[in-house]
Amino acid sequence: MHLVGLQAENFRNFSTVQLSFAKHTNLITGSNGSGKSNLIELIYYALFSRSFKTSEDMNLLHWKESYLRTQIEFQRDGVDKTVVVSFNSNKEKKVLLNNIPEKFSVLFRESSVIVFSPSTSQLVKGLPSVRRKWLDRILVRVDREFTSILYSYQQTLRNRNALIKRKLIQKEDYDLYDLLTTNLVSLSSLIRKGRQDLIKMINAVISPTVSKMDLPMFSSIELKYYHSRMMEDPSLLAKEEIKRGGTLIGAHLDQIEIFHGDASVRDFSSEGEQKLISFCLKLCEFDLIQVKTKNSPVCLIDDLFSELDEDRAQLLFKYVSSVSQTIFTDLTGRLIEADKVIPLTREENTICLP
Amino acid sequence: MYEFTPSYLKAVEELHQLPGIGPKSAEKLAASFLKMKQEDFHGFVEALQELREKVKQCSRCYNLAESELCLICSDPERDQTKLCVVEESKDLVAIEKTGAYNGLYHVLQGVLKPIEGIQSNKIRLKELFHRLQHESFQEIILATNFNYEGELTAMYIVKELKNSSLTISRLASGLPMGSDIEFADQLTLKNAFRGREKFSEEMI
Ligand SMILES: Nc1ncnc2c1ncn2[C@@H]1O[C@H](COP(=O)(O)OP(=O)(O)O)[C@@H](O)[C@H]1O
Ligand SMILES: [Mg+2]
Ligand SMILES: [Zn+2]
Repeated sequence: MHLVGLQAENFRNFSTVQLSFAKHTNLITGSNGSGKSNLIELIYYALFSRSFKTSEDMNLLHWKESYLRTQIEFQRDGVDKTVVVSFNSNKEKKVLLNNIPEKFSVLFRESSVIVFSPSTSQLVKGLPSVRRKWLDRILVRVDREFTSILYSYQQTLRNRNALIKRKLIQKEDYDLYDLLTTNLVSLSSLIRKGRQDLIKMINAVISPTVSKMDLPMFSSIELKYYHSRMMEDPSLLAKEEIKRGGTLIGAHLDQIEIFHGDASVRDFSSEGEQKLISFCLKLCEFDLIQVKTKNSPVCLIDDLFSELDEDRAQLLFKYVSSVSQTIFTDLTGRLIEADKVIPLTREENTICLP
Repeated sequence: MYEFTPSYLKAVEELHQLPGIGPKSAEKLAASFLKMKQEDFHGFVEALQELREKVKQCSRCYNLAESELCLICSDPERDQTKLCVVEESKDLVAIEKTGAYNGLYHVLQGVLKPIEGIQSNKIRLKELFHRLQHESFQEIILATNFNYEGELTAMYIVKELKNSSLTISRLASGLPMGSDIEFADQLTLKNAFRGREKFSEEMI
């Protein structure tokens, strides 16, 4: 798929944006604080109606403005699509896909994007929830069924937590609790199966991926999946859950660890190595999404040359841009040629490059 | 500063309390009441008064009724061995329109929503189980909506009935997950009714 055009009003430091994209490579340049990262975030927001940086849309409103609006056109499998998002300071949000109101989960399948950014290294360094979410978001894109499994799981979990907080007083509460437990356990096993199968696939592509990045020392990187505790004696479990005020079993507590040989990458690798490994994992994601959806995702790369050493950055760029539309940011843009250059300055808060 | 008159503001305030009516719509409604012809307005007020005075709930199935029993419960031609469980009266009406069903109903007046504190005692579940014990049903059809809460409620009922000899089925095919019975078109709903699935052990 590829992006065609973007229009926006009042998003972060931009008051108006009007922009078209080159089909292959697009470079966003500008000094620090000129809005490069904001533009990457804007593209993502325009496609999915969510930011990957904040869950609070209020932060996205240009200072003191009362609304923002984004419109993005893209083409997938030869079909043109448009997403329009509007949000105002009363926290009202409207999302239209081809003029029809749509939900986030639908947008998430409509277009396909991979973001490489300074926060990518959280994939290795961050909490287990970062890795769980990463896997789940890949699964949602390659497996329609997984979205509804995940949705039911979240509902079950929230309902179960609410019930536990009210301390299961009557027999009926226990019956409902038991039902939610049964559902939680069976949905957990579906989620685990999805994640574990995905991990197998990722582990299988790690070695070819790291060689693309000329990082042969990472060819033995491996992801491992750890189940959280299983259902023990149900009556003891209920007691403990009431005491702790929430659900203590299930796939939302599972852990994914990354190993290099026998050593956990999180505990033993250097910052630099962690960053490289994170980028390699994102590249695995890129490969899998491409194979599974038969469509190459758009690559958004923020700060390409400050995140990676020059050789690695060139390799990454060459690889993704050979198959995908690539939009990347760099302070100077001196090291790479792009089909389209989008220069930003700190003084200017409008972009007009139709 | 000049304000609207107190009675006007009071009416707007009251209208704003209604579900789905924002401040703007409330003002529009108030203004349109003022413009109505006198006899139209009386008709409107009368309808509301009648609604409050006459419409009750059926003491047997909790459907809307204008006497002790609703029209369905007091109809001897209805198949007394079948019971269809729905969330609201409007779902019952949607099913009646298909003409595919001739048994009795039970209106839960809601669904289980533990997140919002709606557990079994807040809807007509106890009443359902009481009926199942005291009336002579052979088949129960669960027609709660096909969203998370509707499914949860159906599963809960199945679980509570696991030792009974009733045939339990769920409206199934044709209706996509996430659809509301009320909005299902009649043909789909009719097909769903004919193709209802029997609950088996593995399904819960
Ligand atoms: N909601 C907002 N309204 C206005 N300006 C904002 C908003 N959010 C962030 N900014 C400003 O945008 C500027 C550019 O940020 P950024 O995109 O991170 O720059 P770059 O990536 O080019 O270094 C920052 O100076 C920041 O203060
Ligand atoms: Mg930046
Ligand atoms: Zn009745």
